Amino acid sequence: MAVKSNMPDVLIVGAGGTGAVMAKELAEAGLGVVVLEAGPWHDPQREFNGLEWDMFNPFDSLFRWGPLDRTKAPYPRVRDGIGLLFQTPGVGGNTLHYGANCPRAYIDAIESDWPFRYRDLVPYYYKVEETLPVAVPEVAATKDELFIKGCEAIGIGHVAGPDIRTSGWRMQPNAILPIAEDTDPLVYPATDGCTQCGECIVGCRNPEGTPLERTAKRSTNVSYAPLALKTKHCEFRTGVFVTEVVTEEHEGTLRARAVRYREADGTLKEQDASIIILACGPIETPRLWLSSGLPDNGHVGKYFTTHWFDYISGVFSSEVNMYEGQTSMVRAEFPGYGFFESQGAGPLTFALATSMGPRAVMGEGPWALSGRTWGSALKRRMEAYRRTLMLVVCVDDDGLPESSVSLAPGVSDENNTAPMVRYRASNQTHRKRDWLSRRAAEVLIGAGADPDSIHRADAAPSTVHQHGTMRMGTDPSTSVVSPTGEAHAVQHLFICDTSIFPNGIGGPNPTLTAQAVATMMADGIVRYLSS
Amino acid sequence: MSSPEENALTLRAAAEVFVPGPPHDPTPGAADVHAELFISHYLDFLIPGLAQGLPDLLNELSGTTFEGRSFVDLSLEERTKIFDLLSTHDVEQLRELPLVLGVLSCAAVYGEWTGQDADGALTRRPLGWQLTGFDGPSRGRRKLLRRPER
Repeated sequence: MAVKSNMPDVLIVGAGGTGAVMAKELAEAGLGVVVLEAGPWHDPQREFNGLEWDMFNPFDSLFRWGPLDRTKAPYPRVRDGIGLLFQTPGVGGNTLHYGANCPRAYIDAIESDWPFRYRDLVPYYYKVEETLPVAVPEVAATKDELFIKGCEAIGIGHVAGPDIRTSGWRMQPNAILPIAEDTDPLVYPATDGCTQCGECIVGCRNPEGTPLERTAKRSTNVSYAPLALKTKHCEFRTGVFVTEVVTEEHEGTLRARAVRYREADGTLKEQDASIIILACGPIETPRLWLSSGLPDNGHVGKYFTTHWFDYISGVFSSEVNMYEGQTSMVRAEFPGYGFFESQGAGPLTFALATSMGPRAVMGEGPWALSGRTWGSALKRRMEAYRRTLMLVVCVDDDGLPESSVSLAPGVSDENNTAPMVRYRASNQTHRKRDWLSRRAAEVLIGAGADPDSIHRADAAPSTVHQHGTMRMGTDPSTSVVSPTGEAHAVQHLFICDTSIFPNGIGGPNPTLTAQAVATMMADGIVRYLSS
Repeated sequence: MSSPEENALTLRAAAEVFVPGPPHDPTPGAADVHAELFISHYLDFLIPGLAQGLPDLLNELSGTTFEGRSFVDLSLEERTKIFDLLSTHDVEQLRELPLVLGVLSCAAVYGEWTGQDADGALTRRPLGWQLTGFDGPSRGRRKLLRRPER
């Protein structure tokens, strides 16, 4: 369905976790919307095969970040102080690959740094939670039962969600359909809902035979994007890469009027729009901004945060089978520090998460070993894979100006100069990470893991979670976009992805908050255009 | 410059650092699955010629660090030392090579490659699943589903 006018009301760059939300909200309000997306719109039933390497290796997988032609090398990226960069092309973006954990932000993290109150977000949280929908699993897998046992053994009590101000464990709010009934065979429509296959991060394709809109994990390619299409006011153009935001002078100020983009065959095109919204994520959004020569007040690309993950694992005397059930079904909140949760993984993901840290160090905490496990140490860990529980730690890391995304001179891909991604951690971030990792190790021991088996990966930072770089604020001298999402320096140009987060929301998984903020901003854009 | 056969042996020796097999370890590892084939494919995919250049670099570092010995003649501990030297190299791209080799070596053994045919179809149980007991992707885990309502 094409938008009838040659000039849509709104043009959105990126159809990932927030772009698709914007598209649905604005199209439902009657606006004409065009969405430009670098990747394809996958058919999970046909294309997703449940194999870790095929689905998300960084070289030539379905979810790798690179040219549509996957016989070509991935896009080069310059990294400094950071390990793997996760950027997923395609309608759905990083939600294709996420675990679908959808907690709200910690209240105090919003109240401290954001330009509006937590309570302002709450109605939009409810709306997104209902639309996706978000559900708390009513059945826990072994890995999650052990997590709860460990928490209670060391005095971490239960905390009721969804609005979090105090510490405790709770069941995971996931953007996953309610757990399906056990039918024979496990095929739609008899089976409708989550089949607990454990493949959330590999790309959800279940239940077998399901129509796209009833796929269990609610990535935006199966939830928001189909709803946007249903309005008949929205067009998705996939396989096109936006290379420039075009501006014009208007009454002494800069105003966005179009974007230039490259189609898969190399054809260059330009698309006008009344409003342009960037939803490309904290790496590509500042890259596009800087590549377009838009004004830089010294804050563009700065204050990148990642929750600097760590992975703590322990071996039990009986089977855990971490790959069974939703990737994570339980979590422990620690406002002021971050959180940790149970983490399911296939064998390759587990091997990589736990083996690629710095040089190994024998127990300097409640773990027998921290750092890399290469060689026979890795093989012994892998032999115990089915008896292992892994927890992932996410830190409320400080946004530092030196943690940044900038352009890398002399390095480019087929679109533009490549971005350089730099990450630095404050002393406080290190302390919080150590504290959370110790607590996670204690949970494992409390749950019955062999104390001599506890391993801390001390993993390098990655971009599984990413925020900041185009921070939102009321002061144009210290932020890039206003609380409405509109750029201070460029009228009619909005940003709605997690790059606008003024902080890492205290540590919780960012997608739900980003989607709530996008929904709130969509309301504002509708009001703005109607006035 | 080394021959293709020598390069393959060097990459195999590199992969053994991460996932060793006999005689270094009792169970099958990178050498047993010919991980060098998997690794060289992806090295050249990233940067054409890297599957030749990286073995040359490892041998050069090995020679200067261990009195002219080639990389394949080093013990696993000595090869690890070469990677540690590489990971602190002045050139950023070279610092990343141990990570790239580690990822590819792990993937060669614990990924699905050893169970796939040339077209990518899974035709047998990969070695990594045998070593870990993983039973492979599933369309559902019945014991975790709700009981049907009567």
